[in-house]
Amino acid sequence: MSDLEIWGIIGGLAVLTFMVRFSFLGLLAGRVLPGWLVTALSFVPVTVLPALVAPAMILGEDGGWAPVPVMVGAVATMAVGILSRSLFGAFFTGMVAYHMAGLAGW
Amino acid sequence: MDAPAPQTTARRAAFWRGFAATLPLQVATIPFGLFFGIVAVETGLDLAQIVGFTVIVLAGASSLVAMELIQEQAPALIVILAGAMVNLRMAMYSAALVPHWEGVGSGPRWAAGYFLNDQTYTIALKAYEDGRLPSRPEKLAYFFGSGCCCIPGWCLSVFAGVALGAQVPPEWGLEMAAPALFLALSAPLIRTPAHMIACTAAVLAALPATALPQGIGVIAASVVGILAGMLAKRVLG
Repeated sequence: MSDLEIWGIIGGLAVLTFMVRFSFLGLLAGRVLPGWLVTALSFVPVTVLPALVAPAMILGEDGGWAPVPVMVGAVATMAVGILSRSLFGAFFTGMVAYHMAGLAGW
Repeated sequence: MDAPAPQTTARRAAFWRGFAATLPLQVATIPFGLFFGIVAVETGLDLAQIVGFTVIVLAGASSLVAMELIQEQAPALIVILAGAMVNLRMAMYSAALVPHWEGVGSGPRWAAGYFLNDQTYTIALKAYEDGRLPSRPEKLAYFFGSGCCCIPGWCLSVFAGVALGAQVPPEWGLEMAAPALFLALSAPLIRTPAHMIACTAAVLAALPATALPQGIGVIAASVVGILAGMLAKRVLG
């Protein structure tokens, strides 16, 4: 990929990201949004990020399953996150579970 | 020198409280940033481009997606759209701040277009909802205090990753830091059966969606999850 294309990606992503962050605070300030759109947005964080990492957490590179420590780490992160609602607790438990499963030779 | 006005003192205190509350989260930022810096070097980006992604875009998850797609030679437009899709969650963060920022002028709102991220949102909203910040200036100061902690934390971690590069031993398990952080950001927001259904549907859809061109798969799987969640909400009430 050429340098120009990469700078185009950086610029495009920066502008779109700014617009998303500024959206309700600025661009759309004072405007009433349709209810369905607000509902749809409320599902964005619980779908985009898990969908992003799910393939690498579940599927292996050669058509098999992902390494066991990876699966253990992912499941532990999700479970602790849902139950404790603690970002830090979920991250920490997930990383520890991943390393423990690796040390156990799973 | 005159003593500062009480309002200024309260604002300063709120700024540093926001800063301090965000500090523990850097335990997650540092390995993620290191990993990000290493991936950026592997992608073949030059230093200016890495600074561009880190400081100008300032959105780690979407920049990581963008770099993966650059490695796979995806078309630039797809790279931008897939990266932006990952950031759509921040529209919800933006909406969540609105009731707390009533009457705030345009300066801080523009600045939030840069400062709003997973950490500043999570930390600030929690404090707002606990009622720990009585006045609007304190709420603003707390938010920007949080940003002044996590943004330098992010940039320094990335630059450390760039500098260390291949010297980081694989036993550190940095490759797990980014997915664990993304899941840890998402999981605490799963609070209703409809959210659980949306998440499960998105995860299941993401597996066959890997057959789609890179980037489109994530967007398609998210849309499936969002639709499933909306349907579940309607049925379950």
